[in-house]
Amino acid sequence: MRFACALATTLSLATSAATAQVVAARPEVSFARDVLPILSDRCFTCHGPDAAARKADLRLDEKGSVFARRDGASIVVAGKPEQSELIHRITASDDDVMPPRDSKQQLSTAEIATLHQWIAEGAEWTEHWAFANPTTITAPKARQATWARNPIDSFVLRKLESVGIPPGTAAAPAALLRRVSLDLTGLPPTPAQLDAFVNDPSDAAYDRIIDNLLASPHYGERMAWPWLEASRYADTDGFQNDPTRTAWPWRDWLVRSLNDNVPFDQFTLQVLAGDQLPSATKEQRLATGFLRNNTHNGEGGRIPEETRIENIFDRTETVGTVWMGMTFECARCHDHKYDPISQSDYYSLFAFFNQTSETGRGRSGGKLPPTMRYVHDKQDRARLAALTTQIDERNKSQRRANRELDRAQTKWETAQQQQLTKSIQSLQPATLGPWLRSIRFEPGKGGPNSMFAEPFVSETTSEIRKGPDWRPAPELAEGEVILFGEGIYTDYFYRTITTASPRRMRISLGSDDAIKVWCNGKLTLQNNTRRGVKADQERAELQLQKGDNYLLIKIINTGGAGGMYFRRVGETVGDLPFDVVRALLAKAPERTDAQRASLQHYYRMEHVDGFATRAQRLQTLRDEQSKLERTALEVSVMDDLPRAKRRATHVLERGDYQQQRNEVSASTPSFLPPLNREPASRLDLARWLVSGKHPLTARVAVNRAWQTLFGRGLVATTEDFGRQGDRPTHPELLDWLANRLVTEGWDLKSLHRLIVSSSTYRQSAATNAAAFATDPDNNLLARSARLRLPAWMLRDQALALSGQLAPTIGGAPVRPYQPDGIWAEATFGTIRYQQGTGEDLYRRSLYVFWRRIIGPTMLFDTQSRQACVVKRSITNTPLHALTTLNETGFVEAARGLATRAWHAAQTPDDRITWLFRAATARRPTNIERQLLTSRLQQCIDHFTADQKAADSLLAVGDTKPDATMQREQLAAFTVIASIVLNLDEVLTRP
Amino acid sequence: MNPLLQHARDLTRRSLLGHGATGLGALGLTGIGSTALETLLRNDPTGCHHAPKAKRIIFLQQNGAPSHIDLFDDKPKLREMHGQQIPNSVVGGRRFSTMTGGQSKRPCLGAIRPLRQRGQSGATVSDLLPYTAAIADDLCFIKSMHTTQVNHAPAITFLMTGSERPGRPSMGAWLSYGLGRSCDDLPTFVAMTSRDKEASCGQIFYDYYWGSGFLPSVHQGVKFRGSGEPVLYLENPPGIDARLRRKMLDDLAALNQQHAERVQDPEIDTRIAQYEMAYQMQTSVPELTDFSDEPEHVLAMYGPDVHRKGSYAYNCLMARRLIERGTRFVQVMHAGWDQHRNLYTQLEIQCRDTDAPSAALVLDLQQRGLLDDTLVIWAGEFGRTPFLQGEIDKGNKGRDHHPYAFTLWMAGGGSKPGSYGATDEFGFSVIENPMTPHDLQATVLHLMGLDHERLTYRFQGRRYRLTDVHGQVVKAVMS
Repeated sequence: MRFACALATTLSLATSAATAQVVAARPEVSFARDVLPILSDRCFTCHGPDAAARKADLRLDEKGSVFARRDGASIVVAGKPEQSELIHRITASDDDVMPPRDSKQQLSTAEIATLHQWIAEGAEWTEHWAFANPTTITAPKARQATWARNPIDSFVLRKLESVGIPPGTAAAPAALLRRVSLDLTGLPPTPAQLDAFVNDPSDAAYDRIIDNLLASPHYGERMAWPWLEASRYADTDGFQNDPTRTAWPWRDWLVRSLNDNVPFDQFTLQVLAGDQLPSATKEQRLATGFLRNNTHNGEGGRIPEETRIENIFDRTETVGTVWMGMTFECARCHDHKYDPISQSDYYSLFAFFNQTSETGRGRSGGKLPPTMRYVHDKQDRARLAALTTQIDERNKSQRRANRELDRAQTKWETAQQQQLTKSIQSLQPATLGPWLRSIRFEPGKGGPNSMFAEPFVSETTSEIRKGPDWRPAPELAEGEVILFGEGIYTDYFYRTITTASPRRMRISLGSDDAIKVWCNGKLTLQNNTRRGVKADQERAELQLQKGDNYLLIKIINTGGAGGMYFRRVGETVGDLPFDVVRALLAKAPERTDAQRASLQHYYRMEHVDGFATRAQRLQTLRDEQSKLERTALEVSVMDDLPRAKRRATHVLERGDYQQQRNEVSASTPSFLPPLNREPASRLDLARWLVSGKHPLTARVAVNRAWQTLFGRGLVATTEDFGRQGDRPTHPELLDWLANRLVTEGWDLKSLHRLIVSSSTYRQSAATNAAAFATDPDNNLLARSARLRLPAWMLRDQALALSGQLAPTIGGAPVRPYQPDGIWAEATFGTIRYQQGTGEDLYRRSLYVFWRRIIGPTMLFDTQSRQACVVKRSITNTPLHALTTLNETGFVEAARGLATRAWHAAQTPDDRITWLFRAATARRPTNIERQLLTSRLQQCIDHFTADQKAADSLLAVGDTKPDATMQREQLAAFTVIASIVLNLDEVLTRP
Repeated sequence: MNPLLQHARDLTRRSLLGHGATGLGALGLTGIGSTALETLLRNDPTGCHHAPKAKRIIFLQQNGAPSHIDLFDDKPKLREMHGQQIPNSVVGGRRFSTMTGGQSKRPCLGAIRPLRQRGQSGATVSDLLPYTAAIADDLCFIKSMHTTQVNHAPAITFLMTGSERPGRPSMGAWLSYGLGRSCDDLPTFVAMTSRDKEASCGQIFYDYYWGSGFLPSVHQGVKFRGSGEPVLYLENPPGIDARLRRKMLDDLAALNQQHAERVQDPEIDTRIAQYEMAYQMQTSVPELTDFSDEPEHVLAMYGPDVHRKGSYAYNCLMARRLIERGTRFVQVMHAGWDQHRNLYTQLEIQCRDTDAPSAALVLDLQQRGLLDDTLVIWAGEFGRTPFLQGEIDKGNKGRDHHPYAFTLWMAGGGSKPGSYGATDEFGFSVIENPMTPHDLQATVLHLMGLDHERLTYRFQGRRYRLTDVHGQVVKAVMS
């Protein structure tokens, strides 16, 4: 609408200067629509919210300042342009002119006229529309009430009636079915579905179709796309080496959540603060992966804190864009130039995300902490839950108090205690000899794994190690984690242990990576693992004889830094297990729960009939439990630092992590409703966003839903609801939808249903030159929009039409066809693409592995997944045409579609009709069919004459061609199918 | 830009992308679109802000950061003080990458090979670069470049997009947006990458180095590949030859046109043109990559690597062939300059592989009369430390990243041969005429006829520029 208005203004001014007559002849100006955008765009840079950049201490973004008197003049005097300093300055011919002559933002004559007229008409001043809560509006009554199916239509119709344009005609049923199927599931309707709806295109039938589409598991897959783009989801980190991450359990969570229609307020709480919800479930914690989907720069030489801060910038701005439709990025370095977001506001929002244990360091053991362990397989998850319950119950029953038994146990404990105290007091601690160390860089016969098995010293003999290979290692301090150099090598550690009497010694160990321990030549511990070193990763029990004993430890480092940890836990004699000894030696009231349990367990095992069998059964369950838990994936999620370790948040000068300025606490921007919590958590922030009192959240959410279904939001600048953003084309409709979203419990499926049920949505997309010229952007919604399908939907559509689409939902990403060398070239050969096989080639595009530094090559003009993007962007370049014409998957899909057409009908004409209709949802016209039939015949002749060409074409892709078809027939139909798949009509949502 | 104009331009671009006269004429599909609008797109009135001196750019980006000290910025003082600690007053507590950030010894390291005065302009060039030295009088050396970024990816991103974080449009994308499409059958903006044969460093090429950021992706650089098909999916599937493809496209156009008459959506015209351009690209790219029409003496000038697809020399010659055929911006990126530990071995190899092709490109353009309006830029993302990384008596030593000073050169396209700017006697800090990547970008846009402050795109409520809120046009480096 702004387009049309501005155009009108320009035209009137072209004929005459801003004379009073012309001004009076024009429609009244609206402050919000006409004036504020000018002030914002031309004046706010120097006279706006940014205090540091403000000139002459003058603000034109606040009413008080605009109407105040200063230096004997008023900037604006309502109704009196000639007395308003604003007008004097913008029309001055001397150096006082505003904007200054050297400014790149000059006012046009039309804009000057608008400001003049605004003041003449009384200088109405209102707050920016999006910062005030949506007003409660009832749907208007329009004259053509029969056209309106629901309130959306009433709003749209009223606007159309106000400009005297009738609504468009209804789309043909088949076109509507294709549209709504693609919009809600990203997949085309089947020929049978088309038949059914064409035979019964009633509202009731349409309602049933919507029910089915909304209930389809493909609904969540389709609606996940905008979320993946908004959450900058990818399967790798980006940056150097582009390491792979395990983010896909979050992607599957997203699809489930959308399919389950989790209300948007709950969804918000989960993705922003699922970990902070009371007794958070694993699923809720997994949801916070949303905030961890950002890129991560682990480049060598990179300063971790810089990375950590940049990651938080990214989270802050993503939340600002996705929930508030505001552009916070500017305020990272200075107060926002246009919107009332100060730099301090920015860092107050930043503070909500500044309390995780993320360090900004590179990967550790393949993970980006904080992570959670998550069992992805649904059945395994269910089994684990059942196991946990069973184990709890059995455990409880085993530990149930029994007065008689417990009294006997106490007696037994006292006796054992006395005996132990006596023998332990007479026990002189063993002497640990100095460490000797020998590092071996021999590569081993088959890399690190064979190094684990292969001896580089005599590992099982117990004699003392000597010779130049062994050197003293004073660097190994008792009970401290010691780090070693980087590389792939075998590290041996050796010491003697001398005791006065036979006994058992327990030691605690840590290693990076694999570890083996021998005592007196006997293998006591082995764990062929890959990990970073920590204290107490392993326990081992050494059987010591009187005199000298020999301890040998072997650690294999498989890359990066190495490390080890050693600590003596204790020594004992007799048969009692160590845990029991320690529990007995502790005073009864000071025993831990674990110690009490271990004592009770040991006693009952020895003294209660049948207890051992029951314990064995419990152990079996526990083994199963840990086996399942070992299948768990490590997924990056959000967490909180312990209270004592919370970080202070500072304003960062120009966004530089090193330049800390004043401290701020977590809070929300002051131009929005107050949060009223101190200290406030991420959960508080999430609750504030979905309180229903926030002016932006619901509007921004319904606008994105509108964009998904109409190709453009009611506010075209989906990412910017601020003063520089576009105004809504239908402000009242936007507010009505926003209010409805809140009152209907943030139900997104209900919102989608309402929109696709409307007559507005069900209009035809056809237009004519006159209508197009009047409203090229379709601001009035007097027709439907033809939208080129996003590349992912083009691929999914082709797969569906080919009959090859694999319906599997979720799981690890897949690798379909990709030309050779794409990854290798981007990574200098360090990462190579391993193409999948079988079903993996035919899964939906949602599941295609997304390497952040070079996305899937057949998905052209998709978002780069570097940062949050909420706006649809579709372009057309010749490269896109090359993809849909030549890419292996598309060519194979054409053959699949051709094969289906062959079997679905009997004559060339019927087959072409079937094929054409499957792809376009309509029958071809006679001319179209004749054109294709004649091409088909030519192709059959061509491929009959050139069988080699036919064979080559049929060999594209992994699927074997249908052997029941003649090869020249199949090749010729494949050509026809490829033409049809490239029709503008097929590439476009009708 | 006025939003109204931007809107009109977007609309024009959108509906008229690719109305190449040849293709549509050949198809007999006349009457689609409007000639007037096409003219608007071609000679975009808001395109140039002033008369351009350059019409095309070849940006030879030396990825990994070549050592300014060893190649161009002669510092006798460093040779004098070789092995002695660089004075603290010079270093001034500035930060380095974590690789030498903790190193307390910072001994001066003189240039590893002699630098000499070359030609009349007074420029100094190392013996390692004999071919570049020979054309020194045609080059504009800027010795006072400095940047804010100390790691490769952010510094390259800054140099190419004006911001250290990924997501902004690159220089070539801005030019495509500002000046429109430059040819029908080849991309307006092409990127090519190569690396040293020794694979001495692990820098990788991110596609946002030639990305379109928030600009429509039609402005994004098209990556020409070093192996396989030069352009993805360029070749017809096996079994479909050019004649059959032509017929398929004729059918498609006819069917699309019929549909256009029914629904009256101008986007369908775009689609027809888009497929026609794809066909033209299929025919012109093989011709482009076929060097058999190059005279032997020209091939010889680029050196033996010119025959190796995907090498720097090959890409340099490709760059010339591309701009000859209408491509406006060619971004050639070559990795292998990151000599932390192998300065004494790798620098020489790296120079040998790149020196002749870079100089040959300038000469070749000159001989064809193209250098006058083609700007060639040779630049790393930062320099290398005047002090040493590693230990002076060991072999595996080199120089760390140095954002505080580096040298680049330009040739042709309105640049002014000579030397501009200077560093202190250690080559550590810029002391005369400092120039940032934003200044370079402003200057390059100016040479292309664009005012960097007026070439803006509205995104997220803000007018974005290649130069953010910075950048000065440096008149002194222009002829």
